[in-house]
Amino acid sequence: MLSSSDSNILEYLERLTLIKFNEEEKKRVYEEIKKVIELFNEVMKVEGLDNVEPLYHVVEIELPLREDEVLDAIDENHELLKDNAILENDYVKAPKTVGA
Amino acid sequence: MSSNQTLKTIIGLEIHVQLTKLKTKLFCATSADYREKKPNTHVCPVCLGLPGTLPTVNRKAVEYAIAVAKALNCEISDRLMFVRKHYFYPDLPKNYQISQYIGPGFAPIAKNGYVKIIVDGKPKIVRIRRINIEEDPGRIVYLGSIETSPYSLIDYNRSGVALLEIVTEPDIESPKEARIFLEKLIAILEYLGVTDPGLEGAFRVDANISFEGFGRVEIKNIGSIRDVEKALTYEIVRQRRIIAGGGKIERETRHWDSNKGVTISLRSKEFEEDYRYFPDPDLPPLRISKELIEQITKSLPELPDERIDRFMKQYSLDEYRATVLVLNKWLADLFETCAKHYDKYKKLADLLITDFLRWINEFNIDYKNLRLDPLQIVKLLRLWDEGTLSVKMVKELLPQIIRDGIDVEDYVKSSGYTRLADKEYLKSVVEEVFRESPKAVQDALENPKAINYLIGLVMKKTGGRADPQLVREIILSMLDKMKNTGS
Amino acid sequence: MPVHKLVEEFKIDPSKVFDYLDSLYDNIKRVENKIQSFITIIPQETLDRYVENLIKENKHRIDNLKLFGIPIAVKDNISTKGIRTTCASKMLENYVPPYNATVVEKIMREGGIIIGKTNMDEFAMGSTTETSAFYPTKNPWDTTRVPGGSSGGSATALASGEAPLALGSDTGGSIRNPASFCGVYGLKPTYGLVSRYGLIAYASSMDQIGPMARNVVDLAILLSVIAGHDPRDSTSVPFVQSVDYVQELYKLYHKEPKLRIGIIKEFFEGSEEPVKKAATKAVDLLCSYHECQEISLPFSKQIIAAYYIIAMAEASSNLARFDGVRYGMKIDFTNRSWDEAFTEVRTKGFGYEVRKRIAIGAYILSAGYRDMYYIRALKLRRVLKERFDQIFKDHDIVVSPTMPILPPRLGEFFKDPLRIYLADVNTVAANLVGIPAISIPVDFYNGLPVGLQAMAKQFSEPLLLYVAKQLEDRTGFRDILAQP
Repeated sequence: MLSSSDSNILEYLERLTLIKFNEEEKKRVYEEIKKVIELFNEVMKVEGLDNVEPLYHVVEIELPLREDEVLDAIDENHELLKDNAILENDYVKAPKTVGA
Repeated sequence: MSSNQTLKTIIGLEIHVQLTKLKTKLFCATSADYREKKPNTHVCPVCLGLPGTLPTVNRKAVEYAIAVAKALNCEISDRLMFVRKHYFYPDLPKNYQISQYIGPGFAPIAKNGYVKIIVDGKPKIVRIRRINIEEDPGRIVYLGSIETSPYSLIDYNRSGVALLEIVTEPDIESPKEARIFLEKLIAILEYLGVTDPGLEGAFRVDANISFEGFGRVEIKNIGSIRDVEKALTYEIVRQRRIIAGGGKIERETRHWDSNKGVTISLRSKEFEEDYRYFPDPDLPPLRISKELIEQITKSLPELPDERIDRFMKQYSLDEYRATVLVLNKWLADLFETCAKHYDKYKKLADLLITDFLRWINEFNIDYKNLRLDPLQIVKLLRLWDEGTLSVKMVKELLPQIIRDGIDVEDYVKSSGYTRLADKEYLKSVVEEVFRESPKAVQDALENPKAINYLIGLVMKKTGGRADPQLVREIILSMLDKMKNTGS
Repeated sequence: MPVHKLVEEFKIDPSKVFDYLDSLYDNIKRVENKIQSFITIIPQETLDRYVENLIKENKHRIDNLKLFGIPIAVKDNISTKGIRTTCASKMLENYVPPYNATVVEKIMREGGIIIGKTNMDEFAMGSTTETSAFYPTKNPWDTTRVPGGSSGGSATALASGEAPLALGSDTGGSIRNPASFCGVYGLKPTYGLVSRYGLIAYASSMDQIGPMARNVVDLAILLSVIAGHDPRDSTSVPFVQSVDYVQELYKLYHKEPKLRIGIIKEFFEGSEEPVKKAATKAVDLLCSYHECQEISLPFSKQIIAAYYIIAMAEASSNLARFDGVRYGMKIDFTNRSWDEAFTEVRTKGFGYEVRKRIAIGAYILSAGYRDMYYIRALKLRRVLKERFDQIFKDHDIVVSPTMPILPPRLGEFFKDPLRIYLADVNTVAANLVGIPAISIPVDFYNGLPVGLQAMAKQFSEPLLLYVAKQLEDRTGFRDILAQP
C-alpha cells in the first residue's frame, strides 16, 4: 500500500509505463494517487470474496475461432502506414535499440 | 581445481517455434508467408496494432498447439486463456504481447510433458514445463551495426505470426544433451507437420545455464541447434574460468554472436521484469473439450518414437541406425521408398546414413531441392551386390547420382564403368606386373602374405576396376605354375 | 424534425438532403463557437459531393437505406477512414485512420453521413469533457457548465441542433452522463451487442459504442443500424445478427405490458435534492401504470472502486501502444534510445489525467498488487453480477437518477478529482455487469436537464426503449433544442 515512505513508487511506475510527471505535477499526482488507492482499498472491505471466481468477461460466450484463410490483401503501397509512420526504404523508422 | 570440473551443469531451454504451416497470422487473416517479401506489405490494421483493432484467433493455430502438446506428452488445459504480457520494445506493435501465463487463475495451453532422448546409448527424460501460443514481434534491421546505427528500422511483416513457446525444466546436463534434445524436438514438430524448422528464423532458442550453486545466465535468441551447442560450450568454459579464479557468476542476459563464436553481456538482471500479466479482455476463454483433444489425438501422424520402434521391428535395424534415419524425416522417407524394392535393409541404411548424408552436406543441398529418383539408389546397391560395381565404384558413383542425377545403369553401360572381370585381359596385366617387379614375385613365392602387394600393383594399373578376387586367383595360379616348373 | 420523418422526406425527394445540410451548417456556424462540440467538422462542400455520389450510387435502393441522408456526429475515439481521429489527445492530433470502425461501415452502408468528430475527455477518461487536450465543450443549456462526459461533444451536438444523431461510447457512463446533463437520450447497449472494432479502447471489458438521439424512435433506428455480430470482434455476441429495434419498440408500445420496476433506494438517497425530486416525479409517472418496488444495491463505494480498478488496469495496457512509431505524435528518432524516445512521446502526448490513470493502472497490475486489487475487483464484479441476476428475477427494469448531481460548473471538479469519480456511482454498475442502460431526459431544474436511468438484463434493449417512449409521451421531452 502506498505510504509516504515509498515515494520511489512513482519513479518505478514512471519507468514501467514510460511516462513522466514534471516536478510540479509530481506532488499533485502523488497525493491524488494516494487518495485513489484509498478508494481502491474499499474492495478489501468486502467480505466473503475468497472463494468467488473472478469475472473476466461479462457476457459469457465462447472464444470464436477464425478459419486459417487469408482475407486481407497485401499492402503493396503501404496504405496503412504512409500517412502515419515515417517510412524509409519500406521500413518504419524507430529509435535505437541500444543506448544512444 | 578438480571440484570445478565436477560441478553439475544445469541447462533449461526456451524454444520459440513459428507455426510456419499456417496460412495466416495468429490474430488476423493476413498472410503469414512473409519471408523474402517487401517489408511492411504483409500487414493489416490488427498486426500493426492500430488503435481500435482487435484480435481474432486462428483455429488451426490452436489445433496445432494441441497436437504438439499431445506429442510432447503434456497435460492439456481444459480452458485456453490468452493474457497480455507487457513490455515496451520498438518491434512490439502494441507494446504488449498476447501470450499465455502459468499461475493461479491462468492457464497455458499445456504443461507437464516430457521428451525421451538417448544420450550415449542411455535413455533420458527431459521434462517440458509448459507450452504457450503467442505472437511474434516485428523484425528490426539496422543501418550498419546495432551499436552504431543512428536509429532502427522495423518490418512488421513478421508481426503476429503464430509461435509456440516450449519451455523445458532444467533437466539438461550438457551442450551435447541440449543438441540431442533439440534434434528430437524438431523432428517431432516436423513429423506433426506444423512447422518447417529449416526456414530462416522459424526456430529460436533461449538457453538458461548455470553451475549448481552459482548465478544463472540466459543466452538469448540462438538461431540453430548447432549454435545452441556451441554457445553452451562457450558459456561453460567461460563460467568455469571465472569460478576457478574465485569469481562470481553474475545473473545476466547474454547474446550469442555466431560469427565470432562468443557470448556477449546484454544486461544484468537486477530485478525480475514486471510484465503485468492479465487476461486479455478482447479474447474470451476457449473451452477445450475432451472430444476436440481426442479428435486431434486420433489424427496425429506417426511420431519419431513410434517410427524408430517400427524401423527396428520391420527392418531389423538397431536403435542407432533407426534413430539417425527417423530424426531426418526425409531420409527415413527415402529409406522406406527404397526398402520397397530392396531388402538388404542394413546395407541400405548404412549407405544412406554415411556416404549419402555426407554428400548431401558436402554439396550443401537442401533436401527439399533434392531431385533424386530413389530407384537409382536401389540400382546402385544391386549392381554392387551382383559384383558389377566395386565398393570403391559405388562410392564414386553416389555423388554423381545425387548431384548430376545420372542413371546408374545407363552410365555403367555406356562408359564401360564396370568391374574388370575379363580373365584374359587381367592375365595380361598380371604378366606385365610380374615382368616389372621380379623382386615382389620372389617375395610372394617365399611368403604367401606378400601376395597382397602384387594384387595392389594390379589394381593400380587397372585404376581400381579389376575384380580383386579374380586377380588373386590369377596370381595364385601363376605362382603355382612357377613353383611347379621349379624355376 | 425527427430522423425517422427526415429519412422519409429524403427518400421522396433526395435533393432535400442538401437543403437540410444547408440549415444544419448554418446552425453549426451559429452555435459551434459557443459550445465547441466538434474536434473535426467535415466541410459542407465535401459532404455535398459525398451526398451527390450517395444518391447516384444508390439510385435504385434508396428506399432500403435506414439512414439515407442523415448526418451523424461521431465521437472522436471511433475510427473513421481518412478522417482524423484524435481521442481528444495531442498523441493522436494528426492521426488519420486507414480503416473504418465496424459501426462507421454500418452507418455508411445505410446511407448515413459522417458530419464530424466530436469532442470528448482525452481517451474517454473523464466525466466532463474537460480533459480534452484541445478545449472543453460547454453545456448548451448553460455555457458556464460542463456537458458531462466523456461523450460530451456528441451530446451537445444533439442538444444544440448541430446533428440529428450521434454516436458515443460508454465505459462507465460516458454516454448516459452527458445525455443526462444535456437533455438527450443515450443508450449503452449490452456488452457485446455492438462491435468494438475500431473503437479506440479505454477499458476493453466495459467499452460499448451506443446511440444518442433527441427522441426514442431515432435512438432505436441508430441502434438497429449499429447492433449485430461482427467477426472482427471476438467479444461480439454471435447470436444477434440484426434486430429492428424500432419494430421491437412498437410491438411493446402497442401491447403496453405492465412491468415490474425496481427503484434503487441508495441511488436516490445519494442524489442532490433537485435531481432526486425530478427523478422521483418521473418514477411516479411510471409507477402510475407499472408495478414498482424499492430495491437495495448496497456497497456503492466498493462498486466505484471495483470499476476504477478494472478501468485503469485495462487502460494502462490499452494505451501502451502509443509510442510514436507507427502513428501518433512524432519526434525525431535519430540518435535517440528507444526508452528515452518513447518516454518523451508519451509524456508530451498524454495529458495529466491520462498519465495518472496509466500509472495507477500499472500499479494495480504489478506483481504483488494484482491479486490484492485487480483480482479482487473482478471477484466483486461477479458478486455484483449475481446480485443483478437476482434483481432481474423479480424486476424487468431498475431505475435511478442517471447522475446524482446537476451539471457542475466548468473547472469545479478539477479541485477534487475523487469527487468526479464518485459521481459515476449510478452509471458504472451497468458496465461492470454488461447490462444495457439508458438515460432518459425527464425534467429541467433551473434550466438544467435531469435524466433518469433505466437498466435491464442483458439484451433487453427493447424494454428500455419502451419505458423511454412511455416517459417521452408523458413528459413531452422530444426533439427539444437548447439555444446556447
